[in-house]
Amino acid sequence: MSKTLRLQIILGGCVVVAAVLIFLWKPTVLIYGVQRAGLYAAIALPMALILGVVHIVNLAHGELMMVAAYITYYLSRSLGVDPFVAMLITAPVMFGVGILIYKLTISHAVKGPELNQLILTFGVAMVLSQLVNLLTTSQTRKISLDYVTASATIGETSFGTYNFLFVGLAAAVLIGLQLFLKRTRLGQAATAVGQNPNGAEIIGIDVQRTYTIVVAIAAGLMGIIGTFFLTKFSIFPAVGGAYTMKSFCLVAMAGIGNLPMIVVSSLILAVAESSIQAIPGGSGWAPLVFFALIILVIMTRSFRRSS
Amino acid sequence: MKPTRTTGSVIALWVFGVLGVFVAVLPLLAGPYAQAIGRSVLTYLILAVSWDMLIRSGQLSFGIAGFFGLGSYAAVMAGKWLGMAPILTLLLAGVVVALVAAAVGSVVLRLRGMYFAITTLALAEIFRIIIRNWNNFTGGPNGALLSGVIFGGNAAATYTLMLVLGVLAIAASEWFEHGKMHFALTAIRNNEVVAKSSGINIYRYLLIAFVITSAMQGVVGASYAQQFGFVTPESSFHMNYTLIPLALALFGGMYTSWGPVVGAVILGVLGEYLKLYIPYGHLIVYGLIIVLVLLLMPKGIVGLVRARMREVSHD
Amino acid sequence: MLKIDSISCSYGRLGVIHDLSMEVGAESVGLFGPNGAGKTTLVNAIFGMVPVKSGTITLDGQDITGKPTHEIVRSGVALVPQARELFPFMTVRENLMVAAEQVPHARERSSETLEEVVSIFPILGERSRQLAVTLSGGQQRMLAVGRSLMARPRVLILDEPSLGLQPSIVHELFSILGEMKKEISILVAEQNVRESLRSVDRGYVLENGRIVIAGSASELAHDPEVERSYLGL
Ligand SMILES: Nc1ncnc2c1ncn2[C@@H]1O[C@H](COP(=O)(O)OP(=O)(O)O)[C@@H](O)[C@H]1O
Ligand SMILES: [Mg+2]
Repeated sequence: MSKTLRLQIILGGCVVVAAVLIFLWKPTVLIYGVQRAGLYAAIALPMALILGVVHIVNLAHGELMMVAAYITYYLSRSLGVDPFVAMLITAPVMFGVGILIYKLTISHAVKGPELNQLILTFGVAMVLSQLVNLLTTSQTRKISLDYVTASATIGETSFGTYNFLFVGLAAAVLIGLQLFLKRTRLGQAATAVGQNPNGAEIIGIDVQRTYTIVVAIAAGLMGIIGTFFLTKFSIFPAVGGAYTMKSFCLVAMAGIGNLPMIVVSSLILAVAESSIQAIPGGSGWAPLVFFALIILVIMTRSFRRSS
Repeated sequence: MKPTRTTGSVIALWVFGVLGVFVAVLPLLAGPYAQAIGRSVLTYLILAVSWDMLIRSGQLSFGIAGFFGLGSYAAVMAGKWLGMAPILTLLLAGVVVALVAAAVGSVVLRLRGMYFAITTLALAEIFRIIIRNWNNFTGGPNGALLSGVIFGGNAAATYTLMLVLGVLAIAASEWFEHGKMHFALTAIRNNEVVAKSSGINIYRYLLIAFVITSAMQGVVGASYAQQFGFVTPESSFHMNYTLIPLALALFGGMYTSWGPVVGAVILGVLGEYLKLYIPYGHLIVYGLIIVLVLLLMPKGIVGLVRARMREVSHD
Repeated sequence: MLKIDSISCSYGRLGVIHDLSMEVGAESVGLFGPNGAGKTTLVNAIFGMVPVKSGTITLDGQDITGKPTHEIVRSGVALVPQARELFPFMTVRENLMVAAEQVPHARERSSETLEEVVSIFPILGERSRQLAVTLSGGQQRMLAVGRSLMARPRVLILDEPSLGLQPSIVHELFSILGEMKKEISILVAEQNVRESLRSVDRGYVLENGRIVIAGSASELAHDPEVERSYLGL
């Protein structure tokens, strides 16, 4: 126990030192890194919720965000409303999509072999992205909003401020999920199910219902997060895939079931990425950072387990 | 009862054997269009078989497209920079991909289950980014073009080439189904601890399996690139090359040599027609197949047929 | 109270419980038998966790055969499983409270029930903020029993509560069960016949999925077959 604590302190120290150095080098790198970390953490948290309670890696996670973004896109275009207004419809629709996906697919594999679960959710991901491809073509789409270009200047550095919204989003999702899991009856039941589904069944929890609701909540959150994503980024049918992998990387770094640590792992990944991007000629290589991290983290984890 | 079953399976073997040879030779008689379809079927057949060979060890790979694309690039680069003969570039691609797989595998094969699966899912993306950024060698985002295609575009010859590769792939798969390799991989899949305690060097067998199956995917990528004479980061590492083989193997039946073969032949031919009717987004069908097969017939066509045959032999 | 009428259960083709009938009234009943006799299967069948092929299970005349487990819990049956099945990374208190939350009639009185449970098992009060995973085997068993009581059941079923516990703790546990039977019906599946006979009123001996002997505690204690096979005399 004290050994892991020491390790955490050393790790934390390294992160702080690195952050200070980066700030002295190029303040904007740190600012953009923090903003990006907000986005990453917000997206990873619902995946962590499903993994922690249902014990399934949802490889269609990024695709849920993509679908949500498309729903908001078409709603806001056809109704002529702001995306955040359309979100009021998108989120409940995605909640329903979550129920549907759970009932139709995951529920049949939840007690089966892990490999089948992975292939199944991979199949769901493909169906979702190809369905959107079929309906809307692979053309990229974007909503231009005037408020997203807001910027601020401190001293000599000026930077976009809209993306700080993602930091707020991540905080809201994290706090909301923690309150749900600790304070509500359903959330406590979900915690119990996540730790021991047999035990949960024995004390009278409807495990299947809990799984359904947890997947639906995660999907509903993706409805919100997908909308936020749409306000700032272009979307296309394959946009979600990279976020599935990054989210998994972040959850694995944080440790399954440890939601608050996801904020830390997001900061590490995001600041590392924006540092690489700041190096001349480095921007093309930034997407490799997460791969290096996932290997590093999982290796150290599995080594620690075996020793 | 036992003798009937053996005679039954011998007859079945002959029937399938004759049928197989017939199906395989048919395109050679039927002309260029049939040969083009046959080529595409064989391409996915080899990928499906190779994927299945690895999953027999319990390691699920989503990295097919990565090694396929790498093989494509290796072949085209060898042709472009070294002026190597097309057929030799296939060999070279196999060696290059085997080396890369050995290096990657020595790290990622220590991972299991979801960790391995998701890491391999990232491989195609990783390779694609490296190739894309390595501008002056690979041609960067624009890709690279060969001055000509293999066998001067002779459809019968390329079909024959793919047929030979297909037979080799099935032979490799059968080798994995028998003897020490089979024993080791099945032991690893069923229980790693038991496998370890029975003296199997898990890591060595996994590495061998990973290197061989990746090299197969690389050679297919190379032959594909040589047939079309160009590579680009987006097309050569396309998700298709992971999605379609998976669907074919599942549809035919996992954990056997013949499952992926049957799946590839049936769906490969149907897929060609599908492409004509839904040019964009026809891939949704493969996603649906994956989902439906897992939910409704997890043992695939071969599993269904086997169960049926067992019923018949019981009556 | 709990009435089991000629039920049969099997795993695939392997029949495990054959046409078995028994009852538990306002009393404590033992279910004895060697390893593999089918005790766990029977108990899980009552609890809706193993399918019942034929026959019926009723609770106060109400048919509960084939009902989902969470409904059976709500109708007043609680189980202390053989494997304890606690929530390892929840505190002792959270383990107890989450069980009370799942049953409407127990929810309203949860803090009152918690006090009762702590007075039965004082150790659970002392360790209330500790994670369940850090408890010893005996303490975990106490927590499992305590957790089942949080649902305020009318019928309590225990599956081999003495398994893996040291004799002094087994003794303590059965004394507690002997006290509890005044308030609720108890069905206890056990291999440790000697200790459990002290606390039960009646018992059944199960072998290969069939009841071979039934009788009061004193009848069983003096039955030559029981003496030879279970009491080791
Ligand atoms: N999940 C299962 N699947 C198949 N057979 C089982 C299963 N659980 C128990 N059995 C078999 O059922 C029989 C009764 O087991 P069980 O009910 O656990 O007995 P007991 O609790 O009396 O020791 C045993 O022969 C056991 O092997
Ligand atoms: Mg038992």
